This record gives sequence, structure tokens and C-alpha cells, in this order.
Amino acid sequence: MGERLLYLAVVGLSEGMALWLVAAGLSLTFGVLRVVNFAHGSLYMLGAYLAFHFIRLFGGNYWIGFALGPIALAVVGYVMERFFFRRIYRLDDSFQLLLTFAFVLIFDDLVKFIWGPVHQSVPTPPILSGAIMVVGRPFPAFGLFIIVVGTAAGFALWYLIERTGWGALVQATATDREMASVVGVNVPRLYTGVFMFGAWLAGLGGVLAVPMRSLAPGMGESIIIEAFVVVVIGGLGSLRGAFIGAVLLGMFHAFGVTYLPVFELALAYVTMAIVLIIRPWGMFGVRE
Amino acid sequence: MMLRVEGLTKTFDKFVAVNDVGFVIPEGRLTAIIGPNGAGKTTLVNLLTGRLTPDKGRIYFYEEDITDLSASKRVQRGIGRSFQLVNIFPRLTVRENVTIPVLSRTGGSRDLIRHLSGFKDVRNHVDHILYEVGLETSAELLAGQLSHGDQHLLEIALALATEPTLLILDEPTAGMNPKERQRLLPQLEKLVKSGSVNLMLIEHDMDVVFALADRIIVLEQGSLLVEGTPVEIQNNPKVQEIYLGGDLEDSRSHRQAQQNPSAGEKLVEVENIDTFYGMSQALHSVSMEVNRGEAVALLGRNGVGKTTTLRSITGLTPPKRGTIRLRGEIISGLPPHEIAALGVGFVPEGSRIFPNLSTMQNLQMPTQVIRKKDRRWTIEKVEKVFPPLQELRERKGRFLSGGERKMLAIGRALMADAEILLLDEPSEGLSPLMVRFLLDALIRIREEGITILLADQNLKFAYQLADRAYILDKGAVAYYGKLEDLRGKEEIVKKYLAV
Amino acid sequence: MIPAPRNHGNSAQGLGAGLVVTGIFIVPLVLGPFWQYLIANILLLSLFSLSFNLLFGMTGYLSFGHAAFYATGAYVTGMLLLADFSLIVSVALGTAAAGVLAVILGFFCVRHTKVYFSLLTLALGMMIHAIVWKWTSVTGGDDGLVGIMRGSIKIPGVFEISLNSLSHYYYFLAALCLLGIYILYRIVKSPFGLVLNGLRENYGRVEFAGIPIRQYLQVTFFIAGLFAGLAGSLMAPLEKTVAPSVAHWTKSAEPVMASLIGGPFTFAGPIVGALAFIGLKELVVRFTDYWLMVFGIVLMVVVLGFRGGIVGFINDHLRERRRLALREHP
Repeated sequence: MGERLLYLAVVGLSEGMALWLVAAGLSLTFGVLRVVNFAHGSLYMLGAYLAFHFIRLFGGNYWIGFALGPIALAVVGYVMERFFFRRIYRLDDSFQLLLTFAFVLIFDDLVKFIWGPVHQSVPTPPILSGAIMVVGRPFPAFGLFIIVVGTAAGFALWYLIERTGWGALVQATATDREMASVVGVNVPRLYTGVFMFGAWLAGLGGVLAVPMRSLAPGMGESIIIEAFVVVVIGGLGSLRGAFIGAVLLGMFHAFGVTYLPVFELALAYVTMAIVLIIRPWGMFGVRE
Repeated sequence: MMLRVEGLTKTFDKFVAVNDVGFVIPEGRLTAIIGPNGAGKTTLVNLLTGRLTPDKGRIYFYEEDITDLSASKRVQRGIGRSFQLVNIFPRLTVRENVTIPVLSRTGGSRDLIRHLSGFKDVRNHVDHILYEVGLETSAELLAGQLSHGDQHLLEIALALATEPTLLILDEPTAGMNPKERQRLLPQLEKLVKSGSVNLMLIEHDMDVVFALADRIIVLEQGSLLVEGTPVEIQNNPKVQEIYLGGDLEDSRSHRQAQQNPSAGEKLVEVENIDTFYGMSQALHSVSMEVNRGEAVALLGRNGVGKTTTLRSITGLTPPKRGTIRLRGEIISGLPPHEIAALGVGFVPEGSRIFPNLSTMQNLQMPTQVIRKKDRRWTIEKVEKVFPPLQELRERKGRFLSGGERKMLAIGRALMADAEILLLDEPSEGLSPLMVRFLLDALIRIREEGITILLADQNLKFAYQLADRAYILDKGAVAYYGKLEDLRGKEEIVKKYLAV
Repeated sequence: MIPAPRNHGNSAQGLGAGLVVTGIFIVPLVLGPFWQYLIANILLLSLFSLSFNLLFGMTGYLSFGHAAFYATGAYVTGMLLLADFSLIVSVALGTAAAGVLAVILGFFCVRHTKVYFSLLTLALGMMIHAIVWKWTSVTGGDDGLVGIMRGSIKIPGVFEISLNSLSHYYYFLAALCLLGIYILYRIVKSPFGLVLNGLRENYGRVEFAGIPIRQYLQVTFFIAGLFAGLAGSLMAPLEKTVAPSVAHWTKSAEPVMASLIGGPFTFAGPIVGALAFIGLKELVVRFTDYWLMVFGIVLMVVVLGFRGGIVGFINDHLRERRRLALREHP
């Protein structure tokens, strides 16, 4: 019994990783730029599709997609921030949200337009297509790969923010953008950089998700809703909260599918409702 | 007694903003609250109106304890407030603006069905208020399109509409030009004379204060210093002192170590700048210059535009009109980070160091973003000027004391390889010992060739450091000259700097 | 100073509205089913958008989950009609159900900042979608409710009018939509409405005028949900089927876009926007399937340059003309 639970926990962990990467990008963008990017799920979807595209282009080589997908997303992020978001920072919050929403609509149809509405799939790369024994049961090697990459990304993110020079700039700008600019930080350029990085993370999430799930144009919306639930629970702007929230939701998925099939979604929403009543700013959020 | 305050205390983190303040205000007075920067006036008003809850103390309004009441309940009890930065409904008409608080008062705001125009008595009341402040001709205009002075009048009308028994006006003349001020004063006088409302005024403009107030309360660093009639306050030496600065020994010996200031090149030239905060004009045609090697002081009471001038130079609040030059090149209009890279260092009020980063990280940041080959300042050099920083290298900013933060803020600006250091109220909030230490440090920094422009209310501090001074009043330059010469000119000091 | 052009003739507005209403009622007499269907949809979207804009245009709170109430009205009405309840009862209960949901969801949503509010409404809206989609036994799941009859209006013993034909149902729908629009108009122009406008303009100031804001927002959220529910309730007998897509965020996006295209700052804006939206959609789907992308681009253009929408644009233009005219002929 205990083994089964442990196994499901590992499944949950891997389910949560892609979600964690999207939620991390969302939280980071909010923490620094103060914008909630509704289109972040669409970036994840674009990441998956672009990776799929590169993989097909280069004869089925997953690793090309893995490398190029996120980079392509960083470019998309650059264009979005530099030419669109930058114009609306001084506007009311609602209009910023509406702009991100417009991107959701555009990206959704764009994906259908370029790649068609049919579900697509990507085979797991040969090296990782086997299974590894976890607590005596076979577990997809790729699933473990996802866990490794996701956790490594988390660690790298923490290191980047807490221990590097660039991370110090990001922290400084997030706290006091005026003083950051006055000591020489090119704040507009930093904003672009942070946004690009968030997009890169979403792209990485997409390319990780691709072999285990099929690609469909609706995947952007479902993950952004989940990401919203994650940041409400974990606290908007907190990376730690995003990680814990994503893993929690992954667990709900894994356990819910096995034990309470109809109510797996309900579990997540009920948790969100409870958090909203008891601690509205999230577990690790900052009271505004 | 209309208002009774006892033992009011409010602390933010470790900073005591209001410290055991108590006073009594009877009906029928216009009371003014004055005090230098950081005295706690705004915090006190926020405590009275319910925007903040006190840590200790009680507030009694007509003998009712209102300390635990919410802001909107206090409004219903009769305490009204106008805001310093105009706080109106821009896309509604003037009439609609005033109608909202009137409705709230009469309880009609919950009515969903009746057409607004059907409320005759509301309409009459609104007309009456508009007449009282002199806005009756502008009733149908959109509030956002009013002139700035008229917006201030609307601001007061909004406060009046809640039918307050006590109306607190928070710096009603801030950002006004002389014409607008002349329009406002008679309206305020009319209000006082009509006797329909008691007024409490937070003001820096001493002309306004002495023209209108019956009673003056003086705050200093969170505590109540003294209260009395205008004449008593004016003649009180303690009050004069808190505006001009505490006791500092005259150390002439330091002053010999300066270079010859006026022979230097022009480092910063400010030419006729007008700077605005939204529609509020903070600076009117301000001009000044700072030569290389000099130390220049910007003097004047609170709210006259010292900070705004510094912010205009740094690019944080660029001027709408006029130009600012650095070494002859125009810098006004450039983004702040480029101005910083050109050699303008800024040490704001309250230091504003980065709390989540360590001292080391704070100091290193400018070197990361401003790439230069020869830097005059290294971390070691900064630590030589400010030895306490050496042990604090790994400490995160939010755990530093006020004095330590100030040192760090100055160090950070130096690390950006500043040629000129802009300091905003550097002596504020520091103990006399720290002020002495800071002074010595700044003198040493000057000896290294750094030019200084400092804004401070503390005249004695300025004497010790600066050669020349510009005195600002109501957003314009009122006087300039050598600091030495000011010693003989008592009337000027009294007029612009003291009370 | 030149007074801003505000009510340039209330009589002119009244006349215009009267003409439009008359026109709406003449439609089945002169135009065929296609147009009746189209106008009916415009009316439904107008009501839906006006209810949404009560929140956004008036208070500044942007709800991305408004379809939850629309769907509740649609499903409850549909289910009741399938269970042979009378039309009037079904519509009334459908609307009421939406109102109840609005009270519950409003409790969770209005206590937050505007940004969190939008986030929550999207998440909660999709939660309703998930419920509607998965609860197959009740809602028919993916297939939804089918074969809904429009029923009839009857006073027993006196008369009974069958609403099965489109033109008959059209009158019923038009009458109730116009009634709903009129009630919303009265609310917007009431003192309550003025306070809501103040909330959008200056939140802090309203608080300082002594008004308990959260209560006002809760009431507004309720009214918005109620009228969205009415629109959904009227939709069910019109289409005769209800599918889970009515609860999807793409449905929630419709009043958002209609209000923004038309202009969120006036009462007429969302109505003009509904007309523009449906008209544009009819046009676009003839050329391409990708109408969402087209609307995304339109939304982007509006946000970047025309935040007052069509009505706002016209108003500014008129104001400018008036200003110039007065300058020449003082």
C-alpha cells in the first residue's frame, strides 16, 4: 500500500513539473513587471508546437526540439514585451490584462492555422523510452527525466536569483525600480530580459510535456487555468509557492485519477477556495 | 472638547513615526499642524482619519472613542479630509464629483431605481457646496479638465460634502502657483468665518498658516514639541531651532581643506525648469548651477521643491520645460540609468537601499551595470570612509540601522562612479553623533574631488559643508548666494527657513 | 469655458431609442428568419455585455468568467423546459439560479485587488465549465441538452400562445431583453450607478466618502450575474440546445470584446459593440475559420489605441468639432 502511494507520488511529481515551469514564469513576470500574463499558457503551447516542428524538421530528433524550442520562445517573448507590453505599462491593470488576453486569442488560432486542429504527438527519444523501476514498479524513464529537469530548473532559478549578479538586479528592480534605475540599471531592458526568461521557462515546460501528452490547441488554456490555481494557492510572485503549488496539483492529479476520478479537479478548486478564505494572498504570497 | 488625543503612538518596523502625542482641540478654531520633514504630520493625519491604526493611545471625537472605528465610519461621524495630491473623479463632471459624497451622507447612494435627477434636495445641497468654494460656474465641466487651482477647490468641496464637523486639509496649497494660492486663501477664510466647519490645516506655507490659524501645534520627529498661538510659536526659540538645525560646533578647520570652488568648470546647469507631478506644478522656472569641486546647498522648508529639483536632475521626474546640462551636455530627457552612467549619483531621502540584498551586493550593483575602466571608488575605499560597513558586508539591507543604511546609500552612489553626489535630507533621522560622523565623511568625500549638491532643512548642517546656497520657496528660487553671507541676513533666514 | 457636451438633448436620445425599439418589433413582419435570428442574438449579446460592463465599465473590475452565469441560466432553463415546466417559470428560475451563483462566487471574488479578481473569475468560470462538462447525468455532458421545446405562454382558461415558431419566440425574447436593458439603464443612472462610476475613477476617494465598497461590489456582482443569467435563459429556447461551450472562457470573452469594441465608458457602448461583434463575426466566418485570431487583433488595436471604443471615438470627435465650432462662432 505504501509502495503504491509512493509510486503515485512520483507520478504526481512528474505531472507537476511542466506546470511548475509555467507557474514560475508567470510568478517571475508578475513579481518584476507587475503584469499577470494570461498568455503564459499559450507560450507553453507554442513551446510544445515549435519543439514538435523542429523535431519533425530535423528527422525526429527530440533533442533538437529540446534545445531550439525554448530559445524560439525567448524570441517570441522579446517581440511581445518590446513591441507590445512596453506600450501599456503606464495603463490601468485591466488594460494590461486585456492585452495579454488578446495574445491568448491570437496564439490559439495561430497554432490551429499553422499546424491544424488535429492532435499531434511526439515519440519519446530513444534513450529515454524505456522504463525504470521505482518501488518495484516500472515507471517511464522520460517521466524521471522530467522530474530531473524540472527540479534542476528550480534549483538553477533559485541560484540565478539569489546568487548571481543578474539575480541581484532582478531583485533590486522588483523591490524599487526607481532606485534601480538611478544606480544605472537599464530597467526597460531588464524587463525585456525577465519576460524573455519567463517565456523560455514556458517553452521548456512545453517541450518537456510533449512526449507524454498529445499536442492540441486547447492545451494553452487548460494549463494557464491550472497555473492560476497554483499561484493563488502558492502566492502570486513567489517562486517557492509556485513550486509547492504545482507539485500539490500534480499530486491531486495522480491520486485523484486513481481514487476519485470525477473529483480530481474539484480537489484543486476546493483547495483554492480554502486558501482564498483563510489566507487570501497565498501560502507564500505577500500581502498587498 | 471636539477632539482629544491621548498618547498616540505609531511605529513602522523599528521606526517610530508618532510618539506619545496628545493634545486637545476645542470647537471654533482653525488649528494648524506644522513641523519639519519627518515630523510625523502625515502619519498623525492618517491616524486621525482612520487610514492607520495606532499601536498605542486613544482618539476621542466629541468624547466618543473613535480609535477603533474604520475610515468610512469616521467620515460618517463627521471627520472629513482633503488630500494633498488632488484626488478627484476625473471623468465625472464637477457636479457628479460632489454628488457622490453628498449621496453617501444622505443615504441615497443605495437607491437603485430612482433617476438621479429626481433628487431635488441632493441637487440643492450640491449647488450650495459648489457656491461655497466658488465652483458654481464650472458645475458641468469634467473634473479632469479643470485648471489645477480649481481642482484643489473641488478637492475641498468633496471633503465638505461629507458635512464634516472637523475638516482636515492636508497641504491644500501644495503645488500651487501664487495666482492659485490667491484664489484659495479667501475661500478658506470664508469657510472659517462662516463657522459651519472646524478646520485643521497641515501646511508648510507659513504665510498661509499665520494668515489663518488660531492655534498652532508643532511636531518634531514624531513628538509634540509645543503648541500655542501664532505669536507664541513665532517667538519660540526651540521652534526656530528645529527648523534651522541642532547644535553643531563650528569647525572652521575643515573648511580650509576645500579647493577653490568658483574657479571650476560648470558641472551641472539647471535652466528655467518647470517640473510637474501630474497636473501639480512643483517647480516654477528654477535655475541654478553647480561648479566642479563645490558643495552647494538647496535650502527651504518642506514642500518647496528641493526633492523635486534633485529628482529632475536624476531624470526620475524630468522637467516639462527647460533644460539640465551636465558638463555642457543636455541630460534632461535622458532615462535615469543613462544619467547615472554619466556621473550623477543620487542618495534619496530614507536611503532606499535594496532590503533583500546584502551590503556587498548593494555596493557591487553599480559596477555590474555601469561599465568603466578606471573607477575612482572601490569597495575598500568606500569602507575606508565608512568603516562600519566592513563588518556588514554579508548583512542583508533590511537588517541595517538608519545610520548604516545612509552610509550604504552614499557608498552605493559613489560606486556608480559619481562625479556629483545629490543628497536629499542626509541628516534626517540621525543622532547628533551620526550627523557629526556623516559630516566628516562628506568632507572627506569632497576632498577626493566629488562635487556635492545637498538638499536639507538643517541650516547648520549646510553651513558646515556647503559654500553656496539656493533657497527655494513655493517651487521657485527665492534667494541665492554664499552661505557665509546668510549669517548676517536674519530676516531672510526667518522668512524662508524658519517660522 | 466651454461646457462639455453631455446630454445633448435628452429628447433626441429618447426619440432615437424609441425608433430602435420600434424597429426591433417590426423585424418579424418584414424580414425573414435569418434576420430574426440575428437580431435576437444581438439582443442577447447586448444584455450579456451590459451585465458584464456593469462591472468593468462602471467599477473597473474585469471578469473573465461571466459565461458561468450565462451558462447557469441556459442549463437550468433548458433542464426545466425538458421537464415540462412552463416557459415563464423556467426562465425565471434559470435567472434566479444564476443570481444565486453570483452571490456565492461574488463572495470569493470581490474581496481582492482588481488583478486577483480577474484571475479568480477566469479560474472559477472554468470550474463551472468543468462541472457542466463532466456532470453528464445532469447536463448531458459533451452533448449537452437537446430537443428543448419553446413551450407557450398560457393563462389557463383564457388563452394560450405557442412560442414554437421563431417569430413568436422572437417577440418574447425581444420584450424580455429590452426590459432587462431598461432596468440596467435605470440602475446605471441611479445614485447607486454614480457611486459605481466613482469607484472606477477613484477607489480611495469613494472609501473616504464613507461608502462601504465591498458591499457595493457584491451587489453589483449579483446584478451582473443575474442579468447574464437572464440572457442565457432566453438563449436556451432560442437555440433549442445547450452545450458545454456556453460555459467556456471563449464565451466569457464575447461580452469583453463587445464592451471594448463598443466602448466601456457609456451605456450605449456595449450595445453598439454587440452589434459590431456579431456583424463582424458573420462577415469574418465567411472568409476564414480563424475568427478568434481576428478578434484578438481587433482587441489589441483597441487596447493600444482606442480604449474608448467606437462610442468613445465618436464622442471625442464630436467634442472636438463642438470645441472648434464654438471657437469660430462664440
